[in-house]
Amino acid sequence: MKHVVTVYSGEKSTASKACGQCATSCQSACKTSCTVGNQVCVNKG
Amino acid sequence: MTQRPNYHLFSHGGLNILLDVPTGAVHVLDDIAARVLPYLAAGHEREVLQTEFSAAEIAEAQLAWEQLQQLADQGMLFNPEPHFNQRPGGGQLKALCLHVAHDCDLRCRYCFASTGSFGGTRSIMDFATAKAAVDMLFSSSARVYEIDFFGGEPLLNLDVVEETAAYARQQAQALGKRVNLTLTTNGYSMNQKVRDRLVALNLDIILSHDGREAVHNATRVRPGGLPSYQEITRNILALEPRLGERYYVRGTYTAFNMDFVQDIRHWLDLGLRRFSMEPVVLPAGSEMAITEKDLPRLQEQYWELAELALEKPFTYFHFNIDWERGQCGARRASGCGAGVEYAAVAPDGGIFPCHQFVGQDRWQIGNVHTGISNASLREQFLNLGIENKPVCQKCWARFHCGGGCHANAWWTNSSLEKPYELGCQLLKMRTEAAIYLKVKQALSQNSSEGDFHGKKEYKQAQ
Repeated sequence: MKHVVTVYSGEKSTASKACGQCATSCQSACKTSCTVGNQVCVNKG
Repeated sequence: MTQRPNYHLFSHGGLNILLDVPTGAVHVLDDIAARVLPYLAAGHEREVLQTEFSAAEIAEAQLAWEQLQQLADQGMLFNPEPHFNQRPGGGQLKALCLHVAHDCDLRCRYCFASTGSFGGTRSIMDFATAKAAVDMLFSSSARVYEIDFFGGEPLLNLDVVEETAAYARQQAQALGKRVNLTLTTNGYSMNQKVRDRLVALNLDIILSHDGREAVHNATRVRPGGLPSYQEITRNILALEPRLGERYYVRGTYTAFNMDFVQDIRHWLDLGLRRFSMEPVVLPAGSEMAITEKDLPRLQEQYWELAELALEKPFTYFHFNIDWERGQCGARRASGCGAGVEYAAVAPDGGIFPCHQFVGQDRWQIGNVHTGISNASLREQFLNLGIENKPVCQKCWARFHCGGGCHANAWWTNSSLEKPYELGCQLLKMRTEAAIYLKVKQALSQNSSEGDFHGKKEYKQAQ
């Protein structure tokens, strides 16, 4: 029986990419809440 | 040395959701695996199961142990903390918040910018200053730039917005770089002619609106306390169909509307589809301030919002977790770019770490006309990632947050290193809700896990 299901395997391959092309955290969409997890990598997108 | 939590397990809607903090990997566990997990994580020998589980459970507990161990062996669980020695790209300036107007045609009661003046004289930026700011930005070695036209109310200085946008695009093309433009407006003066000019500008637009009429009018008022809902709603609804996906409606919730999902439902009823709804940040004594006692109710709101997102198609900014195209670990660890990759420029050319520090002399870095006068401030902000914030090192959400808002940390704790605790609590709530939503969507798209306990529960929950 399966007790565990992996929904997402993680970002290990890009963990240290660090190209620096991405947006800074405080986007206009909120302007008060830093949430790096809500942004996409422009280098992959 | 501080033990950093490297996994986070939470339950909602019949699902036990496990996040591997360092990699962001996400797994769904059935109840028995959720009970086994802490023993494996704590480094126990497998024999512990004999004493902690009943005879009827032991075989399945053993199986769950093996499956969890397999995840660890495959690098999807219990990963070590990654360390990043420098900021992505070396920390060059990439984004500007241009305060083209320190004036506003509204007098919102929770405004962090002293209703548009930022504590100073009401004024607007001239093109020479905006041009100097763009030149400063483009002198960095970045390849992708962002400029947000901000205020106060930027539509009070639309001529300079247009002139600056044209100049920035011309310079970007000449330099072989890219510039993304946004504008944040309250929408009050956005008549037909202004809407045409905004569409012609071809930029991303943030439209401030607080939802239901009574909620909106309780805070977003014109001078003299007059309501603004009717005019602003009419203007936004006239513009929105012309923007495609290039907009967000941005609301603020306060103690007056802690049922803020009702305001999002109101936006949906109006036909709007792209939102951000943010908690107000005010001193604890304010009647509109959110306090610790409000958190359980707000937690329910974020769960309700996640369920609503499963029912209706809309985009909520803080649920935008993109597992395929998310930012790299180094970027996540460095957090907010204020004072390093991001700066705000006041109408007189004053440079500040971000829009929330504008007008505070002690935070002025320099002036676009005369150059940098306080380089040490940049150094203060350079090392404000999660590595240097003790609270963040103990937090499971650190790679989703990046260390929080520096300005909020300063205003609430007089320290850049100590995050705004209430904001942390709210961020964790909405991050759990965002992950839950992603998991529900993923499970509904993948029916190949038929013998999984949690999947059965998921089906029952539908």
